Amino acid sequence: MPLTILYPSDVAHAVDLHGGADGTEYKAGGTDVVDRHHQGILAPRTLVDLGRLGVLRGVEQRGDGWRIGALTTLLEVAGHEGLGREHPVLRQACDRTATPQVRAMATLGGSLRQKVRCPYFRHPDFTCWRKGGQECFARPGDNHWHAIWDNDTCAAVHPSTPAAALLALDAQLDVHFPGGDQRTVDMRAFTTFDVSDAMADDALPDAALVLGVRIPRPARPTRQAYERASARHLADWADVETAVVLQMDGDVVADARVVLGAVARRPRRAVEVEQRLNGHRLDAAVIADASAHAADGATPLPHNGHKTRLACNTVQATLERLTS
Amino acid sequence: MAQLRRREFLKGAGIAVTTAPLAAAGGAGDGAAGRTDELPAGQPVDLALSVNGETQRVRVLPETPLVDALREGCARTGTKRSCGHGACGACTVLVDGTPRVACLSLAVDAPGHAIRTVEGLETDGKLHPVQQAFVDADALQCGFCTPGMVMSGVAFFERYRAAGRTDTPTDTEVGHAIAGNICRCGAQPAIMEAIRCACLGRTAVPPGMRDGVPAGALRRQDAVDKVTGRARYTVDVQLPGMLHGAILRAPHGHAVVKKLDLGPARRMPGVRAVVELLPRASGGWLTVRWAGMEVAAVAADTLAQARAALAAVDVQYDVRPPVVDRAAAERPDAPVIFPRQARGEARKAAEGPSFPHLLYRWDGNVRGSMIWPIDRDNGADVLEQVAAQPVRVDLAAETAVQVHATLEPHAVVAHWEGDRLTVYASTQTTQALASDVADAMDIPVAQVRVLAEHVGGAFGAKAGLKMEGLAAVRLAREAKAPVRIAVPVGDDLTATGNRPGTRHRIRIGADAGGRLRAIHHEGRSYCGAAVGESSTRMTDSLYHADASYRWDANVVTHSAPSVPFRAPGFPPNAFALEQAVDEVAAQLGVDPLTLRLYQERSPRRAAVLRLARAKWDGPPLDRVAADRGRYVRGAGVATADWFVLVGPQCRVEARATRDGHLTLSTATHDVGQGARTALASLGVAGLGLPPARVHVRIGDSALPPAPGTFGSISTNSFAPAALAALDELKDALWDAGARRHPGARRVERGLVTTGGRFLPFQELMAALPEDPYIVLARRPPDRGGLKLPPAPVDRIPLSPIGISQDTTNSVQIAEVEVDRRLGRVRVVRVLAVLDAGRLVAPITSASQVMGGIMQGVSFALYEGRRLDPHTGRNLTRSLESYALLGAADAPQVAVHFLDLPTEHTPHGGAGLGENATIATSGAVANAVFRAIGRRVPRTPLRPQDVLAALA
Ligand SMILES: Cc1cc2nc3c(=O)[nH]c(=O)nc-3n(C[C@H](O)[C@H](O)[C@H](O)COP(=O)(O)OP(=O)(O)OC[C@H]3O[C@@H](n4cnc5c(N)ncnc54)[C@H](O)[C@@H]3O)c2cc1C
Ligand code: FES
Ligand code: FES
Repeated sequence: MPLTILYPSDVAHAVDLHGGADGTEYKAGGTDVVDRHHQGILAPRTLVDLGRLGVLRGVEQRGDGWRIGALTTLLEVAGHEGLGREHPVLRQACDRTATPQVRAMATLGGSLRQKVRCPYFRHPDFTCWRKGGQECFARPGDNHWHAIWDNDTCAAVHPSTPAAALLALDAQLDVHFPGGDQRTVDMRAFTTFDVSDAMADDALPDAALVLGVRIPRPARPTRQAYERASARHLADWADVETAVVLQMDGDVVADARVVLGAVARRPRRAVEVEQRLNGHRLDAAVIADASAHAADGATPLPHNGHKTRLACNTVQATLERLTS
Repeated sequence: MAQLRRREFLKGAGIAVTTAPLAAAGGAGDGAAGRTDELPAGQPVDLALSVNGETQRVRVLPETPLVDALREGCARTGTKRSCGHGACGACTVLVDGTPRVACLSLAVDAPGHAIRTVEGLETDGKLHPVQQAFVDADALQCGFCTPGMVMSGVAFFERYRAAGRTDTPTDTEVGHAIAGNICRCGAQPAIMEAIRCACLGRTAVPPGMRDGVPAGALRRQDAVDKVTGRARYTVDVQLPGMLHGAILRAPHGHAVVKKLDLGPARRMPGVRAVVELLPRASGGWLTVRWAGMEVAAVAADTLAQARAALAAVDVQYDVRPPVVDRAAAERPDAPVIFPRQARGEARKAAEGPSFPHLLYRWDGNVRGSMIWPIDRDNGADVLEQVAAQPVRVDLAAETAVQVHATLEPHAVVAHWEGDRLTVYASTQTTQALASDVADAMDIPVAQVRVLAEHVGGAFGAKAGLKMEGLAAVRLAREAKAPVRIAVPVGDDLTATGNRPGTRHRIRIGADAGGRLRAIHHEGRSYCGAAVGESSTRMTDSLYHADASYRWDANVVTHSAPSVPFRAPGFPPNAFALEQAVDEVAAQLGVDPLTLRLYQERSPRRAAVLRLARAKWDGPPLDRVAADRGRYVRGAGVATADWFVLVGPQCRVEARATRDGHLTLSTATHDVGQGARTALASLGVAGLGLPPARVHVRIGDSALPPAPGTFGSISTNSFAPAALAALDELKDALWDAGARRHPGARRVERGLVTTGGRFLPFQELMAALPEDPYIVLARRPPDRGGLKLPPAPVDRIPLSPIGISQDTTNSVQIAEVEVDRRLGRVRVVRVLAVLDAGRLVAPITSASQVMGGIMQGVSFALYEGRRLDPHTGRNLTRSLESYALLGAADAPQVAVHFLDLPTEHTPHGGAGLGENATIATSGAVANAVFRAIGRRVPRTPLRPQDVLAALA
């Protein structure tokens, strides 16, 4: 299919060029948009290429934390020494995402806004909700890969591994909105949206441009880890993934963030686990007790019940890495 | 509305539609304010790329991926394209020193960046250290993943060197570095070793060869071509005026075509030919029985035009509910997929002769065993004998559908010149394909020539004429221009073949001494819209119980037909059987190798078992681990046998020239197993020539006859013929030499003159009576004759196949580590011991075994096709959803051979490609049992299955 590529001169120009038009998307690393264009899956007809907007690239340490430009590649994020030392959860998450070749192209902004990987969505012969259809084929079909929460309309899981880590870090996004507003949106707000809208993946309008990600300096020392359950060690999508950031008061967990990925339409905080960690020393009994609640309230589909156990075990494995 | 707004905005901003300036700007810096560069749809862009330090001009479209710009635009076909999805790494190039996938990179982004491809690595004709290490470690087979692997390796090497390191790179970091590259042939351990050795500046050695590389063993003959990107595969063939073909496939698992009108497609831009592929049947077309069945094909000037034209074909389906689910197919009220009169429409799932359908008992969608002699009384008598034994096992097992997933997709280029046809094909059967094509087009076979110089993996899926071949040939004739069809990976993973899924129930009764007395094996193979698989055969050949009953059913469903896949039927058979036998050993508390020795009547098999015992230095084999920590380990054993198939009519031509060169030719194939190396080894050893003077010609149907390359038949067929040709040639050389040097004495490698001077064959070649001097020899018969005389295999009339009295045997021992928290199984190492007779080419043989092990691990742990239950459409149509073993999960391997000539084959060898992969999955499964104390007899063994078993 023919493709038009537009090269904006600056950020505001990019948002204007996008204009929320059907069939128009940004191109950052291109690993998702180019693939979908070639495969004819919700294929963009126009790409607004962000590649020349140098202001969107780079990792910077500031007084109040870190700022990462949206065009920074996952390889650069994972390879940044200082950032990785302070926020290992982000480094580990980016490092386990995709393959070296893809990480060298994929950007942090693109990873947050990539489209879902549901095999029905990615199959040319299924016209699901997201492709203008009137149904989800996964719910009555093979929903082995799918959501165990938020699965009433579209049952695809949010694809982003880095998003799970950023939610656990209470990160914020600098966003340029259509119309010219620039605002900060925290990850919690970014991931809070009406899941009955089968097309939605986050709280931003399509044309909103993510300029960068801020990671605020945590109030206390933290312990952080990312872990996933997958058949292959590397280069596999996660069956379930977990990002954990614990703010510590000495040996006691003061404020826990436990995020599950690949289980819902958005990265999901396991509040039931967090509550059972807060105020406790991180020992085997506390971990076992808390992680058993990782899937509380889940509503699995017929073929993905296994994700509830994987969720509990992945949380447990991640927390166990943080005991000392 | 929004669209409009943007256009107005653009107008206001005064767009400059630029081509050359853009290319020069090359994405550097922020755009100049107020100016919009645009690449309008459909408008070609001229680019200047920096490729391997040279400026390369190329014209592309905005959406053209870099891989196509390099391959088609710059005719640099070293960089490969496989998945087109970012998942396989075949297209890896270095962009400013960093590996990227060229399939997801746009060519228009490339100017201003330094691109390096596999073609640019040599300096002054010398291989890059990573390339050299790949050659030395034999880190490749079919070679299709190799360019991408080498590029990832080079990037790692350069980082390592730049950091000034001298330490040994760890498995973890090398595994990470090549995690984005898939090797279907299973060269991962050698690839990792090659990269490690290149970094250390050490000469690499094939890692599986624990006994060392025998002196004089030849390296893989086409390795240098493959590590440099010079090897030409079918997808690399470009002919002047070549058109691009694409195939329309039915999107329904079950449908009747009501209307099929190609007219609208013919009128689409660029279209040069359109053909119908769905066969006609009375009053209409054949029923569509799988999603992905071929309906029509189009050839156009560009691939994009061909694809667009497919969408214009007017086809109307009457969609019927498909029977997809295994259990649903066997329900008594299930719709019958092949009613009696339509059974002939079932495709053929396995190689070997097929027998008339009426010899089998059909029950709805279940085709039972042959009526005679097997299907008697459900084996009730055998069950009684099982029940009478003190040790009884009852095991149910199942395996998922495995797809071949060759890295080079199915591909054909058809080229007519008058009434002569040349077909370039990614095939493992050039001659059978030539005769199939001749039949299909109704022309004499002498007018068809099939070429398959290099084949990027086959594993059974590339035998005979396939639909893409037929389509290309017919389109090329209609368009009067060459046509290339390369099946896109989504279709390749859906419709070009698979290994049937299976279900088993095995009941064994053993006596207190551990002898298996009675075995009752019910096996079902789910072959899709095909029949012909057997998944219980090895149960009788491996164990000679006093009483045995096998029920070997095929269940048909509305899904893509199975085709042969490396050792058809045997890996699933071994997976189930060897777990049941392991269970006997566990119950008796004896070491599973010992238990198997109790059964042995064959001294060769016993020797293999003993050698495995001697070589195993991992955890004890007789224990179920007591450890209950997070990571637990265990070791498991499985064994296998496989036929020694032979092509009795195989012929090899030996051509010697007076300038001292020898060329061996036959129509065999190198699909990565090393046929070139085997033939060259015979030539070098036979005449004592330096390797550079021995040449091999294969992969061409016009060469002397050879069977297809499947079933481990190739070497068994051509090696004896080559030896016979060399013997004849030696006679001629001795005679010619003796005429010049009367009285000279014949010695092994030449003549010794009366004066005591040694004249090697190379020197005697100057005296040959003709130049070139050509002999053509046929494969001599086996000593003592064949077990089963040659039978013409369907559609392969040129190459009847016989079964030798010899067999091959193997044992594999796997050690696994199971993560009891996350459920992941990691295979730590695998020991393989094989009896394949005398080896013709030890290095490539060891690589074959290593590859078989990797495929077996992949089968055990990761692979499983998944279909939508309501439509039958394939949900695992990419290499992301259809997972294959990655380097980071690849085990260490050790390969040992029982180096003993066979009794019957003329060359003393027996073939090993199939037997290398049969036992692995059973060994892995048994190791998991030994590690966690629970059996999970299913493939793929996923984390959730392990956790469920532990719960
Ligand atoms: C083999 C393979 C395995 C993978 N495994 C994983 C995995 O485990 N976990 C995971 O998370 N991902 C995985 N991925 C996906 C990969 O991470 C994404 O494709 C990538 O992150 C997308 O980033 P990009 O820069 O290439 O985005 P693009 O393809 O350029 O854009 C993607 C989308 O994001 C939008 N967008 C891009 N940048 C911005 C921005 N700054 N502001 C607003 N919108 C923007 C675009 O409009 C577009 O809709 C895998 C991919 C492959 C090929
Ligand atoms: S072809 Fe590019 S990654 Fe597979
Ligand atoms: S050698 Fe790696 S795919 Fe064949």
